[in-house]
Amino acid sequence: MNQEETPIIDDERFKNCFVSKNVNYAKRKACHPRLLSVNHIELHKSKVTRDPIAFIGLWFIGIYWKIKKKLKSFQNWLYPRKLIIYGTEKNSEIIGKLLFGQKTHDDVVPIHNMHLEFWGKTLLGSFRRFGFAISNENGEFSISFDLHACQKWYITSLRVEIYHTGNHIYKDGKPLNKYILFHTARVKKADLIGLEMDLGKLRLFYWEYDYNSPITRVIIKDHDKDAPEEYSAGRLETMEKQFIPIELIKLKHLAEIALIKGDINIKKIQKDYPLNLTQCMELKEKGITRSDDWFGERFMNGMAACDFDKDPNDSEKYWVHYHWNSYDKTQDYAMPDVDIKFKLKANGLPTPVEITLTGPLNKHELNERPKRVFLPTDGEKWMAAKRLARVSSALYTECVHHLCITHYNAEQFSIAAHRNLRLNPLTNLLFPHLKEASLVNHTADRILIGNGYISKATALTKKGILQLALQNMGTQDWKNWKPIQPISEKHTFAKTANLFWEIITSYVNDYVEENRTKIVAHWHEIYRFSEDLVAHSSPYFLCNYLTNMILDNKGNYDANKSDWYETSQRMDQSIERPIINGEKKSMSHITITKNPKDVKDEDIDNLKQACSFIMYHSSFGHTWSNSKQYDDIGEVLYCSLGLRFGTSDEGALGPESDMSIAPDLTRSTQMMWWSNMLSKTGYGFITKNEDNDINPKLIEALKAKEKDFNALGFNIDTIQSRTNI
Amino acid sequence: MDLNLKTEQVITKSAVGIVRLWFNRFILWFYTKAFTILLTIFGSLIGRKRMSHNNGIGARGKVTIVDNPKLIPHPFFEPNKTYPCRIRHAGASFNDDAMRVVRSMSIKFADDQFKSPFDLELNTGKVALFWSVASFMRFAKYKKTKYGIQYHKYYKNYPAGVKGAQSGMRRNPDSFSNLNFYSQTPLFYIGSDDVNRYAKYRVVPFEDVEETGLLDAYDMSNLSENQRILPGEKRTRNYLKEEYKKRIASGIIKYKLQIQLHTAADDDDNELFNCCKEWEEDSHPWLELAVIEIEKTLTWEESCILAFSLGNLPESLGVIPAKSIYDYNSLNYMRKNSELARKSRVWSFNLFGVPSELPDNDDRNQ
Repeated sequence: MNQEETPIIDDERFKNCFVSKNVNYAKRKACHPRLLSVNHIELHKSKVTRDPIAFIGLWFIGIYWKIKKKLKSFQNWLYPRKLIIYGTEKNSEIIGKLLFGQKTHDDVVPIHNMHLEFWGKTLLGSFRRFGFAISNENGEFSISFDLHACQKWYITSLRVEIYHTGNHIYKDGKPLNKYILFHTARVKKADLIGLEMDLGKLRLFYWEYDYNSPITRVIIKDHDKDAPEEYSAGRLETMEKQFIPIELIKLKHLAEIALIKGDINIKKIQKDYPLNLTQCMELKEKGITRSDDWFGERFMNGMAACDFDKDPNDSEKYWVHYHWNSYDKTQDYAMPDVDIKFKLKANGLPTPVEITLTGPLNKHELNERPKRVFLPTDGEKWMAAKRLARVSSALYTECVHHLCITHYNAEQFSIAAHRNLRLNPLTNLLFPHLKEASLVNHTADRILIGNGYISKATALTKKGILQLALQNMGTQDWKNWKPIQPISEKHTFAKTANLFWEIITSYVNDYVEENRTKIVAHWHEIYRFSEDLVAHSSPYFLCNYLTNMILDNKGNYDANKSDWYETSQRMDQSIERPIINGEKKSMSHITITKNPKDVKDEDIDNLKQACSFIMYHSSFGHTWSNSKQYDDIGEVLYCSLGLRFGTSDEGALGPESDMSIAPDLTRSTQMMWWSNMLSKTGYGFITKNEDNDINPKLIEALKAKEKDFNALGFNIDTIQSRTNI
Repeated sequence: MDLNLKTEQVITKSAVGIVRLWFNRFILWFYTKAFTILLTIFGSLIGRKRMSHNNGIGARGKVTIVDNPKLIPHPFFEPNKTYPCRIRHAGASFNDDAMRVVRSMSIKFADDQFKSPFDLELNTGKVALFWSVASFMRFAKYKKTKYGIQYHKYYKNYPAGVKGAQSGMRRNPDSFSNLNFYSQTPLFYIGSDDVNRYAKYRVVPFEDVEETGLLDAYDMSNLSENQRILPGEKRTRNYLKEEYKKRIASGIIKYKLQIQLHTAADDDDNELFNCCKEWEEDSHPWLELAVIEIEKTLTWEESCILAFSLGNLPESLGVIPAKSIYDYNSLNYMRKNSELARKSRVWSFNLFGVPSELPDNDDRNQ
């Protein structure tokens, strides 16, 4: 095979290794252990139940919950909640004000346009509806009702129900509002005496910003109790079924590691997990995945999907950087700064021509920062340098492209959207793609970030991870954003991304234009959405190097100076940053207009851009960096998230066969568990539309381009609708 | 749950409705009787005090009906007719004139301790703090007085109560004689022409003087439940009663009794009877009805045994019937039908003596 002409990805021998499989919803077997809750997933040993007595107990609990559910369904069937209003005259009112919960920060921030219902329950268990209202811009509501109707002797209890407003499902191609009960405020029957009854300020712990976090996060103290949203039932069930087999493998390894350290090794650990892409290819041709061509292909079109900047000193070359020096680190793992130079081959794929590693690579130079340059002619050292570069790239992709750009971006948009969008048709557009992000991020806090996997498997500490996240979130902005532009015909990631971007922007444009009148009518919600998004976004960040290289003396973007700098897929440095409380913010205002009458075309365009941005990242963007994890970090020795210094003088530059460099056994099985769990489990795909909340027009638009995606080797059925794993 | 919104009205006009109406009347009767009995036992006989308005001063004089051509003729209000009268000014709650309280004026068209052809009970404030028996029960339940603070939960729940308190409470007025008092609740007025009308009454100073004691910005911003005296208050607990005695000693105190009328119509809004809503003066102007001249204060004992009742009204000027405890007219129904409590109080005073006069001491906010 002439690798100059035929990319490895097109090589027939490896075709079946590249077949992207859809996530299968596993069938649970009776003997399978149970995971009680997503909150019980743990890095070390998740809380699964396996012993027979616990099984029996769980069975009874399961029966209890099933009976309770059936009784509730029976009650709902027997006494359906009719929407007629009981009572003949509106002679009384229940008034109040909805505010966000945190007195210290949100003391006067009202919750507008929230749907409220006033219901009573009868002796026999049926419900009577007495009135409803929507809170106004100041969060005030007034529910008018007939006092005599709710004072009837058979009305036993009264309540004001507050609903999540803005969710929907699609039925026959049309969105149908789906109100989900959020909070119930009991009303004493004896307290209703006519005229107005004031429930006072109802502070709802509803999508509260976590001011203890440096990045934009929602407060969740307990996932099962006070999270502002819930996973869909289907997602929970599917997740549990898919997760158990992977968990069992990890538990087996952990047990073996604890008991018989001598017998288990990385090879055995690897063998127990499903074959990944690189292993499959190695079976066909040994060494193929360690080659320069493969290295280049994966940096361009793999999980990494790098941002290629031109070398300012040599326009024929491209470079990619991973710099870790400014983050808080331990000395348990080698984590040098990595600079890779590529050149494009005739077939359009990149090949590495130089790798520079700056930082200690063995235990003898922990307090030094030696700089080493490696070339393809360096033999085994070149192989080792590539491995370090792969590892660095994998960690960067996980922390930046995956965690920050998709997960944290989705969450910051999700918080602002759920806090402010309710009656605006924008909810139909955005909510299906923003949901569940806060929940999965909360789980990640516990088992991945913080004291989770990354701080144990890499040199980054918890502080270092937060520093990295804060800086990267400070580079996130929707304005003028577009995906990376192809640098060659073989840049399939860029082509796929742009194809998806085209679909999303067109879909968003059509949707906004179709619903423009209503969107503008409820512009106040968008104004507040924009205000929250900007005010709570991370501080603007640009590293010193780029500050010198692309900005002029006055701190303005200098296009002439930065012709080497890849501007797509990055923040537009030429636009002015909003300043909130003296601090430059990363996110731009979508609008500064409160009044619907003053809305301009520019505001509408901004809105379209912002929606396209986040919908792209939460769906396709996340799918790319998530689903390809098992391909690129599914083989421990090929690529992990960290390499140790090892016991030899060569340190991290030793060969793959030196097990003292590779992650330890526990970290190895945990990494395999991670990459399997994240890539091979999933629920909520655009084309599958399991929750019936995806606009059929988006599905149609995707399917219309299915052939184009297939030609690029991408299966549209794998595109998740939201970031929930 | 799908809340795509449809509304329909459920109309109940049936035998069930009639039964419900009588049942509601029964409940009103029951509440009134039960409240009266409890008040009699615990308030009148054991506590030997009024339910409210304990801190007051009585006086006697005369009422002369004016000749007002705008007034619909009524046999009781014969122009230029004079009735002897007794009045009593009081603070609605607490026994300290310097606290922030509603002030009252009760008028009896007779120089008698109880019997009278016409009694009126008026308070400061154009609107009341409660509007029905049901709301009054809540008012009573949520009283929870402590150190001059009361009705915290009531005001929290009921904005109308706050509005009534802000309208009715007076802080350190100069004199009872320059306050404006309102009946707030409407009564019947079936004149010589036999046309059903409703009436509200008010008493204002005879001379055109500014009302004192209105709540200032500080008091308006202060929570209504805080009725305590102001820090550094120098006025005594009895300053207002002392002032009234001095004022009468130096001359007659004159008031104007005025009336608002509304001709009953089939399409009258129920809110007409709501004592928390004023009648617009443009459509319901205040008409001069009588002049009250007060000549002499009563002794403490005479003031204590003085009792007023809405039962002392001619039928054509009497209480409007009520249908339930939520009916706006139920308040007057309860007032009218709680005479047992008043009579028991007076009886206990006659038997065991009246309570002591309030001393001018430092025991404030009581």
